[in-house]
Amino acid sequence: MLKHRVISSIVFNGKTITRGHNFKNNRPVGSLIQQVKIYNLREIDELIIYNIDGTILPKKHLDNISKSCFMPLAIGGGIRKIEDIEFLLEHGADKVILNTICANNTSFLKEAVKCFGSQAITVGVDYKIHNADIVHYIENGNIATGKKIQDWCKEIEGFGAGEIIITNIDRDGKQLGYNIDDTVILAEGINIPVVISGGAGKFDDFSNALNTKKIDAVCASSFYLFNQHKPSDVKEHLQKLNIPVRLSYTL
Amino acid sequence: MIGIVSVGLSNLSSIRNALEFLGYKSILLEEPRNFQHADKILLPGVGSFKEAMTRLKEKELDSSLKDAYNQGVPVLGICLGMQLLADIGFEGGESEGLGLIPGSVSLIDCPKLKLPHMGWNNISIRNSDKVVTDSFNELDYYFIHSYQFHVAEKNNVLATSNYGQELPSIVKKDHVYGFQFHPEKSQRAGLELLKSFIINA
Repeated sequence: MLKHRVISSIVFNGKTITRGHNFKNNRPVGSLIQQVKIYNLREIDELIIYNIDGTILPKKHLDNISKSCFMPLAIGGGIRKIEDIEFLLEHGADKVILNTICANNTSFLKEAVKCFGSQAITVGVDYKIHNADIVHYIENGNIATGKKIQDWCKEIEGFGAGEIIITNIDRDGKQLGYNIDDTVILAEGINIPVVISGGAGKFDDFSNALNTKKIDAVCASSFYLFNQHKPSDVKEHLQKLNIPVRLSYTL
Repeated sequence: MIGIVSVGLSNLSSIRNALEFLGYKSILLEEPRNFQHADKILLPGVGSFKEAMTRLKEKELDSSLKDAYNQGVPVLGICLGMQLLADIGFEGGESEGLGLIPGSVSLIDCPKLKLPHMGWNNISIRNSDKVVTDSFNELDYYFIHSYQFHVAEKNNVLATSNYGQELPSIVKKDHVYGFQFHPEKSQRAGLELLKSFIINA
């Protein structure tokens, strides 16, 4: 049986990993390689690294990460051309996360899928709530696109992306709970895996999201960094509620 | 020395790092003359079935691989690399495979489930052997694929995983193996299985 994935994301500014809230006020909270090693040791199901300094993650970091990371790795941030994707995949990423570039240029998304296959292409969809409307943002939460976001999610699937990560910017870093209702609206009718992100703060947030049956995987960052919670704690909680997850084992 | 068949773009660093972590040296098999140095061969996947076969044939790596196999070198296909072992594939258009394990490859038929089949799934061992021992039964591995191997002879299926139906997740014939999942991305369970192939195949 396929398990629901418990994912962690790391935000990296080119020097240290950082955390803030609402995609802003990022402050340094640790070393990239050290944190990757911790998540590998703790057997997170998948790791996402966002590089937010405007460039793609450089080779020296990628090489170090892939030496200590024997789990699926998705990398986003700074991707501007097809060669960037090729570079990231060649140096250890299993998937890349496209966001601004493909919202501005949908033919880029098509080309990326054609070159690397659906399984390697994840699309990030970030939004804020304005007067109960779900508003799509790009450029790290700075620019509203004016796209009808539900249509955009369907287009992403239509263009052949393998997965969508949906993040509510309003909740990022707040640990007050996911925006499950709006994520479900966006996930409705989508036939590729959907990951919820932004706001996880307690164990019930993870189970409530997965119990909707519309969301395939749960991503969190601050929840792990600022609490004593391990991914295995989340999984044990989910297991108790009969939500299928990969548990630790002994060989 | 572990040889890794390389046809250009692919995430080979993960495989190489996994081997290094396990303490094994590896070389990339980029042209036919490299094959003589390999006493085990790994065939990772790249792109679509058709594209991968085209690239293998362009560099004559398909015949080198088959020659090595015929000389008794154990081969392990990973993900698309497992699918390439089939006689024929339909991804990206119909094309001939390596023909090392009888069967064909087509889109997973599961109208109610999402594709790709992405994430961690357990393997149920149907026929254990010296590489795939019962100690690996029901462990979780990382899968990411939309196509499935329809294996012609049931005894060539060592393990299956359920996704709407029982999909072959480990196949084997003589000394060629195929893993539909990524052992190099499946943490300890994957590294142990990779090690078992290298030691026991």
